[in-house]
Amino acid sequence: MSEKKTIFITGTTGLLGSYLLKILLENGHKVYALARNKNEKAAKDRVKEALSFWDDKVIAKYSDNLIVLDGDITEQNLGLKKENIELLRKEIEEIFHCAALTKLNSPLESSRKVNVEGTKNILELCCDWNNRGKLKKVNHISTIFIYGDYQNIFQENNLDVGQKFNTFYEQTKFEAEKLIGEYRNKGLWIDIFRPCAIIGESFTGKIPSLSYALHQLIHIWSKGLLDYFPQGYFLKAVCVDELSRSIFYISSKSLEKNKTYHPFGYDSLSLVELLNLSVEHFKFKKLYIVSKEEFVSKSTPLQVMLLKHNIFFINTNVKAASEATNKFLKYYNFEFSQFTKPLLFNILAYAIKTGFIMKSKERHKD
Amino acid sequence: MSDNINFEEIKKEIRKLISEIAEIPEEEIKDDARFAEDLGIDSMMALEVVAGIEKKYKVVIPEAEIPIIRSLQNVYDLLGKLLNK
Repeated sequence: MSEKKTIFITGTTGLLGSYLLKILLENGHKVYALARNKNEKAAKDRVKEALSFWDDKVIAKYSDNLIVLDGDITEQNLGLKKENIELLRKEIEEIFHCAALTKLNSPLESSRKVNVEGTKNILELCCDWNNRGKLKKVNHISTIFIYGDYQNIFQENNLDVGQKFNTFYEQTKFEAEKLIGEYRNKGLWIDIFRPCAIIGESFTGKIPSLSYALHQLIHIWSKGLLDYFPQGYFLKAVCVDELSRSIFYISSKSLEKNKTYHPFGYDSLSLVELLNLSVEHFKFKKLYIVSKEEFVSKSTPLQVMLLKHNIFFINTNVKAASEATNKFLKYYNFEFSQFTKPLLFNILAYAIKTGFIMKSKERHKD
Repeated sequence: MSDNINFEEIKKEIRKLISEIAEIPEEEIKDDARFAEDLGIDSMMALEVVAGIEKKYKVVIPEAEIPIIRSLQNVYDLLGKLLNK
């Protein structure tokens, strides 16, 4: 569908990075993937493992076009050897920067080291690759949650709206976007993508880890740890496959420089609807649906804390606008799915089938 | 549950419960295990584990006690205190 490019991508062992890498390879691009050696596993094996999770044939099919480089965005020159830096300067035409520390409870120092300094390290190299090499464009993956506690409509072209942040993740991703402004002024073409909460693949429900917020919540439900659940929580979410495809489409088609995109649909996921589905089809414990105030007064401090670290992070007073991005995508016949019952069923069924969540028969003996 | 509780039995039940919630094989959960360092249980999962214990033994863990629960021994001590109240 597009001209073949040579692309550099970070964060390829992560949720979005691994899916995006799959799409780039499937579309015939040559890809240099940056990854760290970790837990005695070589970078190459980690990337292959992450790719195989989505499709075990993709490596064999496209191995000629995939080069994994052992490096770390928190190090100067990304910890790459000098000859590799030179090679990348000569070859790379486009970059997808997906690497980030996404844990909501990470301390400020470690979040900043990865999300801000890591981005700076990449952008420093980009200046050189742009001036003396072939680099044309950088696609930076941010997050919609940089809106913090903002209480209005947060548009694609908004950034600093006087918001305060709930987590260091939000704060440091915001700082990274500020930094990008400086590098845009230096002449780099940097498009920003701000996904919302990323959930499993739309047609299978597949997701590689239970550590993401929504799956944590499903886990809490599945273990019968709550008695009540607060109404009125809607999660702005996007399926990993649709998110990756939308970023890929936009990056291939967009000609306007230094734009920011909100790659998600208009629909939000109703947590009460998801809970009801899990009770109806997967024998989860039925919870009493109450107001947030009632939830807090009727639950134990520990039960309240479980949600404090989860859905209570959701800013229910902001509207994340995505009209401009959706309009662009619609022109190319791309539309995000709505959170229909079959889609939600896939998300739940996959988690249960793979053993992330145990079947409920043993669960509620007490 | 009061004075005549068999605490060894309860410890066994707690290990089983941690195994179920955190999905760790029961034999890997030793009495002296620390959640993060020895079992790889992050702070969120630790909360889930303790919430499971709270439900099973029908106790309410006071908010002030929550941050100090970092190991199996902390759980045993706290539960012992709450059950003997």
